[in-house]
Amino acid sequence: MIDVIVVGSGASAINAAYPLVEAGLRVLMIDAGITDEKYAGKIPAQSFREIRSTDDGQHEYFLGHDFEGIPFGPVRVGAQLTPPRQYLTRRANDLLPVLNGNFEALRSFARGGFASGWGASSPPFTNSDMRGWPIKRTQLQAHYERVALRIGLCGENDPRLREFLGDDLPLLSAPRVDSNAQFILRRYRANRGAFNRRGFHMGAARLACATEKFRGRGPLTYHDMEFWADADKAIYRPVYTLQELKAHPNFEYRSNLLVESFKDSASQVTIIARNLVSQTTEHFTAAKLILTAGTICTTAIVLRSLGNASLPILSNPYIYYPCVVWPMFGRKVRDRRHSLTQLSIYYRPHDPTEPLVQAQVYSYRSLMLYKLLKESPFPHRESIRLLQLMQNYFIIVGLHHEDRPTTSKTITMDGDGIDVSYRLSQDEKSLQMRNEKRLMRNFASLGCLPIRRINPGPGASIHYGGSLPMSIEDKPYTTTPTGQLRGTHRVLVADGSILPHLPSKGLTLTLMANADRIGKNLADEMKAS
Amino acid sequence: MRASRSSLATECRQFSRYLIGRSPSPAIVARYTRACETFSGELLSRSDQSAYRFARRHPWSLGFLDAGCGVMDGANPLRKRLLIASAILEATTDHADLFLPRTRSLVPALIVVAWQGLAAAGKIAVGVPLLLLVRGQ
Repeated sequence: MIDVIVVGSGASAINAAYPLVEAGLRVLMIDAGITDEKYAGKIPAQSFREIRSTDDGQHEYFLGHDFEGIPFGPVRVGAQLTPPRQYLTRRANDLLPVLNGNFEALRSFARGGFASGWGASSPPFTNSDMRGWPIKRTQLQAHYERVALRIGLCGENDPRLREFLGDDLPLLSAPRVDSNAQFILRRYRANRGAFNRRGFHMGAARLACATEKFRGRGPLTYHDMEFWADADKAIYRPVYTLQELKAHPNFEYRSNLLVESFKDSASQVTIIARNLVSQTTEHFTAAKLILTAGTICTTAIVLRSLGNASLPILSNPYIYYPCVVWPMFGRKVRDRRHSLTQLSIYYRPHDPTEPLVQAQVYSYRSLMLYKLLKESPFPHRESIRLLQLMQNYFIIVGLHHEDRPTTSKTITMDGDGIDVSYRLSQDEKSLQMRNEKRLMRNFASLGCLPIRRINPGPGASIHYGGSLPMSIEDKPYTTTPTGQLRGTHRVLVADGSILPHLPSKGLTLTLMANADRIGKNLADEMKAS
Repeated sequence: MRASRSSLATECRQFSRYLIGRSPSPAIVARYTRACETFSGELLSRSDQSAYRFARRHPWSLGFLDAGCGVMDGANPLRKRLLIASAILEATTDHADLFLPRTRSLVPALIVVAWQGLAAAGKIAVGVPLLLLVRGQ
């Protein structure tokens, strides 16, 4: 019999499976496993500027075969997914429809999940971020370290940011920041004391990125093509670890299977999956099951299996500010850069009961001018000339707010689909707006002029969680601190569903570390028995 | 009203000359035609096609109506068509030089910004009343 079935192949699934495979247990990974068949291999391994000047086929991926890259209407959730990344959400409406319109719950059935297109920003959580959780940072530290060595984490262990990043982690050399970020950081450092007294802290971003040769990947080439392709394999994608796992004889990967539900008994657990090719139903039995299909899909599997209920749902509210670094105007900027997070900002309000706000600063250039043109109120002809001159000084500041459960944020099954109802209270909105203004005021004093505020709407962060929270209280539809789903004998959950609340930081590194923790605990337990 | 291919080709040439002052290659014209056919539902969903039709009949008015719509009606079909044309022109090697970032030293850069800003303001000043007039017809 199979020892453990792991559902999904995203960041959580891969890192939950890894310690089990390492321990010699027989692991079966079951996944829908949609891959990119349109664009893979079409994008040359060249820099953005070289491609723009030499590749006659660039319209195929910059605009998309069906021009899906040309945006109409307001900025929406998932707008950051370029045509070569849009396969991440392919077939989602068909495989798991979402019925409610006020919350854009993106679902990925792709091999590697959303981490196949993530921004790679990897701030760990601290005890302060995990306030109210049944586990502490000390319980995650060893797993952060294991994951860092598995995926390649780069950056600095900056003692001045320890309050926000916690204990040191093994890191690869820090990536070079671009010219705008360098300028902002220099200004910040010249007046750091004053900024820190106002609760504003900043540093170069930690990224899941191989800045050096690392496990057959990298080094980062600074081609500024990270939104489009992975030619240098520098940014971590779960499929790289999946490849490593496939080399183990005790690991099997099956794709084209959509797990719909499970049946759990004292002696075994069986999953019921739909074969996406033959449309037949298949059953797989194992001693244990780990659900790591991503919060929305995992919740659907649990509700189908244990009975429908109204469960909490969380998603970090996410706001963008396109800004111009106006003092840079007229200065030469470095052409070689990466497209991902350049800087991380932490804003700690003076009131200790108010949550931390976290922001990331991105370079804009490689997302193409036409997306900015859409937002310009000027005539197109003049906009092209103005933006051509100014785009070197454009940055995007993406702000995350924390999210905590309330009765106005719920997820339930409705027929074959998911129904999500998500509403922030007026108090939550006011608090977010107040702290956002304070953060952006500090940022503006560094010479960054915000042009407008863009709110893509609920669900925009694509960070979901909280539906089956870890809890020490024995309540239905919760999990124990070791990920055991209450009301079942043999089912564990190890993705975002079990986070009791979502701090404002990017989740993915913590999802991986927590999945590694749950996988390692289970491996130890199964080996012992 | 679905535009014919030859009409879309003429439109593409007109838009290209307006946007970048250059004529498009046949490949770009074909791409524009295909894109407009792909987005025909989106482009024709609005009943108010007056600005687009007027600009097609009177090419001199294109810049003014673009400016007027930019201020008053960003989702106007004329703006959407110009966005498609801009995106297609940008994603080619032929015209990459007109879209890739250009660094100028401060004074020339400020002159360009001031000049383009003035041009935009002038077009808006004419474009807004022209748009109202065209819509009232």
